Amino acid sequence: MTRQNSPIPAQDNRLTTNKQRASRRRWLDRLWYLLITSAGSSVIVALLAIFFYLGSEVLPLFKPVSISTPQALAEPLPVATTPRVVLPDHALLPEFEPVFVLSEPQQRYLLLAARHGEACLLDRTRAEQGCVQRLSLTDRTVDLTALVWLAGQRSLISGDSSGQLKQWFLLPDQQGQLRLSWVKPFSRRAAAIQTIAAEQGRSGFAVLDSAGNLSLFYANLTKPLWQGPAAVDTQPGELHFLPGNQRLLFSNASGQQQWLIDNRHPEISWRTLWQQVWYEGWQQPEYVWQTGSASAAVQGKYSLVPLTLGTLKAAFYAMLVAVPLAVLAALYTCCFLPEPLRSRLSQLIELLALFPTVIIGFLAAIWLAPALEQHLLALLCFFGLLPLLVFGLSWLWPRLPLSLQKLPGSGWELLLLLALLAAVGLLALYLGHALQLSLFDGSFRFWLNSQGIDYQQRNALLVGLAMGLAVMPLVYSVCFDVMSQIPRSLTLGASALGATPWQIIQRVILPLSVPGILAAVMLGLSRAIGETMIILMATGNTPITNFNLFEGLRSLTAALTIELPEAAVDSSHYRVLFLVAILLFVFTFTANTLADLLRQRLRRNFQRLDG
Amino acid sequence: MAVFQIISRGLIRCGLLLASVACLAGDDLSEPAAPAAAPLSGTLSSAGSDTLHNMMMIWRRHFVARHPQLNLQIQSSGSATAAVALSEGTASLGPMSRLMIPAELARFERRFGYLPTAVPVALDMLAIYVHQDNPLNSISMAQLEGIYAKNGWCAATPPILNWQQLGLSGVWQQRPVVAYGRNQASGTYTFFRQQVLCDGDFRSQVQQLPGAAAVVRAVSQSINAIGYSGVGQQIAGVKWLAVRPTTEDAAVLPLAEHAASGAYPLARMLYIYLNKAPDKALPAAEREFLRFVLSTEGQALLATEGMVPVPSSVLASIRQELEL
Repeated sequence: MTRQNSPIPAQDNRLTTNKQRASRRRWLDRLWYLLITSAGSSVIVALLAIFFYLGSEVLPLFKPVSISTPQALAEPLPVATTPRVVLPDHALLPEFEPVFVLSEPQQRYLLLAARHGEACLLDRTRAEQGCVQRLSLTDRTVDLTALVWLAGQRSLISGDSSGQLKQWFLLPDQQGQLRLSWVKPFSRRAAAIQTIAAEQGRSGFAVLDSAGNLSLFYANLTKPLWQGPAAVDTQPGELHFLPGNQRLLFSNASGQQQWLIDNRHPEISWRTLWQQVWYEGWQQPEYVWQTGSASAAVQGKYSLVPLTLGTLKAAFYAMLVAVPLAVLAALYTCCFLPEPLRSRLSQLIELLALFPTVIIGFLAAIWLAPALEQHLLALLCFFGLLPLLVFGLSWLWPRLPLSLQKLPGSGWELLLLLALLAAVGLLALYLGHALQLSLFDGSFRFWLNSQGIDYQQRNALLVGLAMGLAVMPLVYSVCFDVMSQIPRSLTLGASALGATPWQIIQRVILPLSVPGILAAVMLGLSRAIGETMIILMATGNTPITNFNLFEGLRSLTAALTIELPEAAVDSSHYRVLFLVAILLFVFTFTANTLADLLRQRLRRNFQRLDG
Repeated sequence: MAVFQIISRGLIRCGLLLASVACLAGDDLSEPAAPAAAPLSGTLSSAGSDTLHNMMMIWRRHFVARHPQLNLQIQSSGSATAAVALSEGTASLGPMSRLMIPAELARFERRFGYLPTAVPVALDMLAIYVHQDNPLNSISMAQLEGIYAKNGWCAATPPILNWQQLGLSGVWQQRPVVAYGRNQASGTYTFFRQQVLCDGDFRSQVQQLPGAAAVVRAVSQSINAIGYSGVGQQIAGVKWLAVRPTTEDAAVLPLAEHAASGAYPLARMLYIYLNKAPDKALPAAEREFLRFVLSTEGQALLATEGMVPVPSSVLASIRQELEL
């Protein structure tokens, strides 16, 4: 505007506007730089904050136990003493002087134990028969000095004069008769056991030995959580936990003293999380995930093995379905289909990825589960017939009239294949039904059961099929991208040198795209590991530890979804669920990192070829 | 400022007084009449039991018809969520299919300094469902333990793995028992664990499904399945088993008269938990909703879901306690 009116000042003006423009540009530059930097760094900060939060929730689980120095109490506290069990007359046995008399929670059985360790289990309903079981709680050369119930009265701890501590369970045998069984020894104390106190509402106990050492144990761990000199006077006395298990009281004739204990999560350790544990009332040590009960005295069982295995099992079967389908589909669309059909089909397959997984899970649970149970044999027949179809076709194709062979690009090929597949499917259905009636008494799944293979309706096969379908488009699209990035010069050159299409795939395309295919598999794996809704809905969420195709599973994600809403904040259960979240993250992180490394390698390969 | 507070507090008290006078007037009748007060508005949220979900929806429909301005949100992911939501203050009604456990009560008390109030709103029964083609008609509590429990803490029953062990013959001899149950957040799970397992552990093969309806649907789809769920979930394709409390007792079906008489061993009270300070009245919306739920009309609606009204003596005492 100004330039038109007066050219000379316009020079100045232009200079100043240029200067202004430059400064504005610098300013904008700086603004955008700051904005982008802050956005980028806030993502990193948010990620770090999430880790920090997860870590801070989990770390208290592994905090070692701490105990204060003993403090003498000026005013004695009343301690709850266990009521003495009154011994019925007929329980008086000759040559047997019971020192310890304990009764189980149903009040049906009585356990009597004498000083030398001899014990007798009495059934009150059949008392006239005398002991139903006699055994020795010590090895007869030493004296039994302590025998207590742990909380919940499901297991016993015995201590003897040699410092040996043992755990015992009352387990039913085949006839439903209770028997006392030896479970495990705890690590030996240096001196004779003087007194044992059980924690309230959980399975820990404290032991004082005659050398004046105090040890804290938890029933599932043989090693003590804490041990050290008790610094009490040597007069014999009794230990008691106060409610909340944060104060341990020692009382004897000369007074009382207490320790303050910080021991919030004794039931969690690497051993209980990852190894077999023999829980109260179980016949043998097992990996168990069974949390939460209305009664506080029931031990929470937190083994991460069934969950980890469940996640891997589901992902494994899903990949077994998804990877061959996706890779072959990518090869087919990339190398055999002509252009318009090729991009349309690949878009269609990628559209499948947009299908909400909750719908897939719902369909799997409601429709596929009963259908699969009924037509399991048909599915197996289908897998058997498929190679036959392939071999048959490859034999037949060159013998067809030339006019039929030369019809590529019209979609005719595709339709023909689809029709053939459908025909084989119908044949498999018919065959499966016929076989089932003639060979397997009308039901293949019950026949499986009679062969000792457990078949559940909601099983890993179902999850594999449903989740395979959900993961397949992702694997497919990465594979397809990789294969179409291969320089045309290579395939054309090979073709010009007389290679057949299969030779081109085998010698050129597959070797070049192997890192890409592996990256796709890794991405699919991390997707399958993180998948929640399909697993939640299509399995019975059974925390079992095996790889049986026909049994269910419980994954890390399903456990989080089901249990996080009910877990009391800051309880062991709550913190273990956060550990589960971290574990889940470690899995997906590893898979994703591997995928990324492979992709970088692929990029280098392609750059080398292009250069 | 202080003066204003005092005045406003006074005004609120007056309001409460008026409301309670209105209540008293209503109470003169043999049953509480429909509230004469102006239609309520605002938002009331409920979080908790899945068993009570259908019932809450029915109560909401009838209640909101009277108070169209009121927005009642219902979230039902399991009884355990009620305790958390009440303690965190994210919901004012906590439907639960069991009583709160000491840990939950302690948590609430730490937060507010008093205990939550449990209002019994319905009598429900757990039914044992099997496929309709299953010839079995009754089952004992000990047999249920054998099917579901890992450790026989109630009756030391040896594990039951196929239908032959339950006395079935023919093709059923070979068929394994497939056990379905609820997920851990549900009060149904906890109640079943207490009553049938004596707080023991479930076998890990017991399939846990999220949702009361999902269990029954799974049973209807699988011929050799057994499952426990609320009695109101009956659909085509399943049938109830009568339950024998002990092996000698007669088998009892989950019918209303057996729940009220106490003959059916798997009957339980369902509750709505409230956050009610001891010296304060409930907020109007909550009070009116509970008044409706406990009224003859609200209790009569229970029959649509196969549930049983709370005995009138219990209702009377709860009305008195809540000053409805």
